[in-house]
Amino acid sequence: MKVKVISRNPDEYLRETKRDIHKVQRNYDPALHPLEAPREYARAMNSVKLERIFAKPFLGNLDGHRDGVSCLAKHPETLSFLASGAYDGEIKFWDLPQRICKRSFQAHDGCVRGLTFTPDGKNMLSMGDDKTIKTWSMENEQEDPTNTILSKTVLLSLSHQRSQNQFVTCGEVCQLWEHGRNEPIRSYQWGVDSLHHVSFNQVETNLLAACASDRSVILYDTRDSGPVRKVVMKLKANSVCWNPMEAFNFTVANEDFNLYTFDVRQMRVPANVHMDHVGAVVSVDYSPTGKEFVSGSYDRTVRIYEAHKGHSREVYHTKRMQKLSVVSWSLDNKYIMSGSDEMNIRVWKARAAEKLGALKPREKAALNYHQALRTKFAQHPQIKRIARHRHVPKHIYNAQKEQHAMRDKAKRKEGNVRKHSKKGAVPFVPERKKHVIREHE
Amino acid sequence: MTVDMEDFDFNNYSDSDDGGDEEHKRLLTAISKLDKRKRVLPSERREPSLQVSEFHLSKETSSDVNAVHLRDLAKSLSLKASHGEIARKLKATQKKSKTLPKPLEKPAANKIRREVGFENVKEQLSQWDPVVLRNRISDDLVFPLKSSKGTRLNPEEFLSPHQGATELERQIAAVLNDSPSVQKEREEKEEYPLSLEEMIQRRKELARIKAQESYRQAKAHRQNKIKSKKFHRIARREKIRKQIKEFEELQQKDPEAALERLEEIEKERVLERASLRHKSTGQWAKNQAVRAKYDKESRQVLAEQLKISKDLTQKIQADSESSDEELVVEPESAVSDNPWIAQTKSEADVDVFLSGYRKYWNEKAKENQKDTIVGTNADSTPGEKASDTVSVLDVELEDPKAQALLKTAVVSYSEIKQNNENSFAQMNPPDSKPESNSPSKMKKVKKIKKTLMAIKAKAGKKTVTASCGKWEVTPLETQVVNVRSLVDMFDGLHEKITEKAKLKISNLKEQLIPQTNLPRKGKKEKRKTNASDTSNLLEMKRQKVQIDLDEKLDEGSTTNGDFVSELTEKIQLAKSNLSNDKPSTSGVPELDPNKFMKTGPIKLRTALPDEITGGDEALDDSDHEGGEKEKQLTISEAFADDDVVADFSQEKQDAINKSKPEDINLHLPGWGDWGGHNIKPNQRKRKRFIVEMPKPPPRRDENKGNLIINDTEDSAARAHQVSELPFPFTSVKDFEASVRAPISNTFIPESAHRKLIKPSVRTKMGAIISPMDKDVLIKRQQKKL
Repeated sequence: MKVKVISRNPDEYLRETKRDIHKVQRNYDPALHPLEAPREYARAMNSVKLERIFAKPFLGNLDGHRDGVSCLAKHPETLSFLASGAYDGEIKFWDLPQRICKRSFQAHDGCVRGLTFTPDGKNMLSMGDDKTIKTWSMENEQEDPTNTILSKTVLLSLSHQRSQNQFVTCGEVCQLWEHGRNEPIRSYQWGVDSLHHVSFNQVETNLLAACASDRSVILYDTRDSGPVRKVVMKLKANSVCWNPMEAFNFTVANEDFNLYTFDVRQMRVPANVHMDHVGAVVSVDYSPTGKEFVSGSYDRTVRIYEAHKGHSREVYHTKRMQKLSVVSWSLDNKYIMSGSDEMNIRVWKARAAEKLGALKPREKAALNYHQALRTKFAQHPQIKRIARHRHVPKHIYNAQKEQHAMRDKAKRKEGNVRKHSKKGAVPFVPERKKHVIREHE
Repeated sequence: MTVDMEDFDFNNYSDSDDGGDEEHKRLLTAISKLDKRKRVLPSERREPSLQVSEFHLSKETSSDVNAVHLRDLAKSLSLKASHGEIARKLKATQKKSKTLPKPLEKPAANKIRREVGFENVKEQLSQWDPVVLRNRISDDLVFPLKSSKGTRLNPEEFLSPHQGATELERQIAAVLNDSPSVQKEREEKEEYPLSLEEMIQRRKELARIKAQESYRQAKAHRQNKIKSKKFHRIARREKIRKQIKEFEELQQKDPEAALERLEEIEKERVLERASLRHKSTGQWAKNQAVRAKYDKESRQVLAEQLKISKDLTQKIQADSESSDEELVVEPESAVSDNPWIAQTKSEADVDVFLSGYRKYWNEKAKENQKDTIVGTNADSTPGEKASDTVSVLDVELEDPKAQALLKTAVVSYSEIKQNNENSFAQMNPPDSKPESNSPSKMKKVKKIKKTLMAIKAKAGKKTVTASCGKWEVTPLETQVVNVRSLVDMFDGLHEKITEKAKLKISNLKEQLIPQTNLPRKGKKEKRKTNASDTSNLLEMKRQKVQIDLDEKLDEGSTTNGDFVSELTEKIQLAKSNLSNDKPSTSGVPELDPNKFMKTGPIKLRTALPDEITGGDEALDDSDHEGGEKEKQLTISEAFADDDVVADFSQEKQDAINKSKPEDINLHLPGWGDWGGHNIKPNQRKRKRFIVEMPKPPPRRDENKGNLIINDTEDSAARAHQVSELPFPFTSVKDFEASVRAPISNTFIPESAHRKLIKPSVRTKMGAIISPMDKDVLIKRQQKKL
């Protein structure tokens, strides 16, 4: 009797090396896979849990300043280089991968207010409470600045133009400077006593925005007209940052715990209100992709927002991190640097669960697949619960609760007023329209 | 009044005449003193200076008598006749000239400047709209963007020879660089650099050549893959023929080259002859020989083979008679003897036979056609009608044949229509519903289509003869094909008519819409433009629809996880449930408990595809209905002894009890009191620690007698189910579909999987992403070359 046995060639299913990938024969007929969606759901569930497990955003701490960090500057051409200025007038240069201070020097009497690199990265400008603007050469380690400009007015903030050799300072007035000149080439004033933050548009390089102490944000055009528009908000704007990919959008960090994204063309109503902070927002910086931004606040947290969304996607905090004074997003879109009152600079991952370093193709594909699964099932309650759960310190939790109660109360009151007044007398005002008082032409 | 009037003597004023002027002045100053406001006196210029302050220019007043006017200066001009010309000119200029308006005040001027500046800024920024929008909706963004300068590599730098990795490579590169030929070439290059156009031309030429080559390669590859022997035989023959032709041409043109070619051919022939090809010794030939007895084709093939070998050997005979004799085969005898060779003519025979057959077929086809045409021509009135309809339909057909066909179609259409009406008249008794008497064209066509389909269906069974008027419908044996074509025809017509109708309706609508509507529309548009501005003009959709959650993070703290608050939350939740879902039981009638047997499982309809059951349910259902009574009988027989109803009610009671929330007892024995073996805890104190749960909401099966509705059965699954439709989706169906569509490579092919999991934003490691560059806005001109 001839017995037929199933015989398989081991060559077809055994791998010689780990890298061999055999073609796996599959029948993709959906009728044969009745549990496609449940299986993917289970995978998504696992993926989202793992993501939370791997979410360890804190990378390192740069300590050495002897006073609170007041400003940070990214080098335009070197990712590993960071400069920081402190309230005691000291400037430090950092090597980020090694987490060491490469150089530190006393630059100003009093606080360093502004710090920026020239677009070619060869010089650095610093500005302090001693009303001086100093230029430092990056090529040789000289103790003295290569140039010092004495300003007649108080200086509070500094921003460099992207393409030309011009920079702008603000304080009592907004002044436009040029390298090689000791006097400002232009100075703009529009009836305000003090401007505390100024920022150049990175795309349309002749536009700049400044925050004024009369709760307004002013838009300037450096070509001809100077100030062109002003929008007055309910509370003071602390800092402003332009979207590097969208020429007409900028975001301001506001004293009222919110951030507001404006479209320059329609300043009366902000394009978006970003909530979630429970303290005044002090600093904001866009990611170089223009899709997200990071904000630092007095509530001792760093939050990351997607530019078109109203709520933060991430909140970073550590026990010892005090009030944030400055945040900055690295130019390769991977890291976030935060400087705070307690003299430390912290480095975070921009995506908390991201694996750092080079990835193998299969690894990359697997990560992409998990990401896709998570987005696919994002709405499912369990996945949403796990993905969006964050542990926050007690003070933030309580503050949030308190604010929630306050907001509820206001809402309820408004509802009651509406209920007992003539129809249409108490209109529904969208959140976006509540925070801007007026727009000046 | 603070002004002292004493120093002004009224009497004195009236008396004195000579000092009137003085007096008047004094009067004026006195009066002006009455006015409390300070008046700014016009300034006087006392010293001549070049700079004139803008603040000292004063408006000329009528009261300013002493001021010198131009007319005073020009008075002297009128005195002399010679100055007449100048005077006239002066007058003319005075007439023409106007005083400039007063410059705006500074704040107002600044405001205007700002407004203008803002408009400029707005316009400038609006240029970015398309770019920004594209990036926003793009599903595949790779940063750094290509447009940015930072990432551009200079190809020359990149490919420079000094980049060699090893020492050897570097040395070789150095040697090559210094070699005189390379230097020379470089010099030449520098001397005659190609212009951009030339370079592009050259590249194009190269690309063309490469493409042609690849086409040729592909063709050759394809032809080599063809297994048909016949094809290869034909191809070979053609090739040989071509070669011969070429050779002949060459002979005339260039005899020497021809001679060489001849030698080559001879060599090839020799080689072929030396091989054993075209002999009947190969396996193939042997097989053919076996088959040849019964197979004509193989016989042919073999004969051909032999013929070739014979040709090959024959030539030798012609060329060199001295060569060995054994190989020579006498052709005459072979031809006569060989049965294979005799068969070579059979191809022609086959052809003849085939042609005859074909002829017969053609004739038959022609006859068929004629029949139909005659059929159409036989009747004139429907034909006319048909032509009318044709003209009405404006069908343009150049081909006369097609037109004829169409005509036949239309004729038959009208005929069948008549027929139809007749039949309707017969079928519909007068008391039945009258048909609408205004049938549109479309309706007619539809009807005819139906009838045609009916005819077609019938044709399968037997021929139908529908007599109507003078024209007879030909038997359907020949008509089946025609019917098909007719149906196609009518399909086409129908489409055209619907299109026309739509167009007409829209035209009519446009005409009919009165002017009253127009301003409203305008208003709407206006509003739209106001709301949208420029950005909304470019609205586009994302290609990939993904959930776009914008929700607050679920931020919790570990410190507040105390039990009591959780409890209160639980209680509140239960309360809210209590208040929320009170099912309305008023309209539901009570069911008869005796009918409990009839209730079967109810399947809820979802949008899920019926893959698992594979549509078996229908079969089950039919079975179910058929055997219902029997089943009932058997079940009732089987449970004859049991008290089913009582059991069921007991079960239900159990279920109700189980679903009731239990009170929470927080009492700890000995807490705040003595505890021990014989000590009874105080009931009052104990009660204080029992947290009463609120009454549950009324059950859905409360009044439904013998029905248990289990709400909590799938509570575990419910926690995983989506309750809200996420943002970009507009319908549950779409969302369900998106969840159902798998993305993993377990269920879909790898390539599709790759596409689906591709992240929408990618960044390159270690690459600096510079801000958007203005180069994006520049439209690059395509070089036309």
